[in-house]
Amino acid sequence: MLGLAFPSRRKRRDIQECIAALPVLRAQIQEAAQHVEAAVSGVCGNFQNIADRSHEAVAKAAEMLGSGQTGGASVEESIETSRATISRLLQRLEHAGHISSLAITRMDEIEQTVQGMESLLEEVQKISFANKIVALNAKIEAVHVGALGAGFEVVAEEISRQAERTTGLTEGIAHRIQETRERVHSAAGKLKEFMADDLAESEASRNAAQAALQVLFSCHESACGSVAMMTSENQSLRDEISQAIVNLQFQDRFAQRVAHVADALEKVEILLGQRTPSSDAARGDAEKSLLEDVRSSYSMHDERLAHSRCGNADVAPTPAPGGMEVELF
Amino acid sequence: MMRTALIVDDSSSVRQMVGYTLRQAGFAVLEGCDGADALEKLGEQRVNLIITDLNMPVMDGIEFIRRVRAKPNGKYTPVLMLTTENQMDKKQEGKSAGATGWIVKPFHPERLLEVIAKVVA
Repeated sequence: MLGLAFPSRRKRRDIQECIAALPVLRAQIQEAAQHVEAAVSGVCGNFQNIADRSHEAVAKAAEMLGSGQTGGASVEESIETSRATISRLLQRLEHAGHISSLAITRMDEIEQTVQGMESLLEEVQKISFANKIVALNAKIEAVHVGALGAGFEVVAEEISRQAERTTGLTEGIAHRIQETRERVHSAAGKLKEFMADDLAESEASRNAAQAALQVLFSCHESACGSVAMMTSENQSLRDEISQAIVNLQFQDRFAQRVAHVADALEKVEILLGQRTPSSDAARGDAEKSLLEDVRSSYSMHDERLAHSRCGNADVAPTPAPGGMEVELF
Repeated sequence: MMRTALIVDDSSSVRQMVGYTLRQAGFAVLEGCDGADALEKLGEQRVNLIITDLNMPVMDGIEFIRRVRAKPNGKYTPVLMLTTENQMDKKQEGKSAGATGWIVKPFHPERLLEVIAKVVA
């Protein structure tokens, strides 16, 4: 127990004022520490949100461009599908062109066949004309022989009538054949025109589609490059945020030191509330006891160093927080 | 199946930083603001990892580890002490209480995950 004596009235008043001020000071530093913790928590949350959003944006872009892991069609796949579809369409157009070409050939062949039929009909008409001449001659001969040739004249008349009928029929057939030939010729001509246009358009479509796909592919490659750059930037951002998290942990150390100082102030307050030691020796003991009390409350190497430095100028300055120490048991 | 970690620290910012690091690594995270609060949160469930501070109000980290080791669901759980304290006698105290490892703050997220990978099966 310390040897205590009553201090002077003035000293008692000073001490009372100090005692009254200490809780206020303690409350101030505690509140400041709380504010720092709240601010650090906010900053930390902001950093984490930035990292999450950046990561999410890169993941979505990568997914859209085809380097993601989801089941939806990527741009790369869509370009390939479009290329294959256009190629198939063009193949079908070429096939249709080939069929049209075959049709034109067949039409030409039909036209030639019809021409052959016309020639044959001309032969039939010649035969019919010859029959008419024969019938006329037969009639003349029948007249020459008189009553005996009457029956022969009837036959000649009939041959003549049949020849007339044949001539009428062949003229009708020839007219129809000519119509058919003209129609086939016209259709073949139109088909040829259409084919020529179609070939030109197909070629133009093929070139346009290839150019569009090339542009799309270039855009895709450019976007892939951007995503790769974003991914790299995102990794840098994550590294920096990781470092920021390390740096923001100053708050924990700061809060602990402030808490220890606040505890020490409380002890000072209690000590000052007691009677003042009567002698220098007793005062020294009290100071030593308080300092030991304060020292024992420390939880960090930095604090112990700072404490030692107060009484010894040779003590090395506090090192900055370094890499984390790990020990597995 | 998602792994679960329990973080015990009286500093909300430290819980936030450690929690974020662990969530990024695929852990579900439970938090306690001191030993007593953490014991209540733990209850009868099993977690894959506990990371605790040393100096906390109400119940400190050493006492918390002793209580966890006394529970059937905490006997074999890896418990890492994450603290600013680096004194040998404190480390020894933690080891005796049943801590799996001792990490001195400030922690580096990547290195913390490396250590966790070593102790969590």
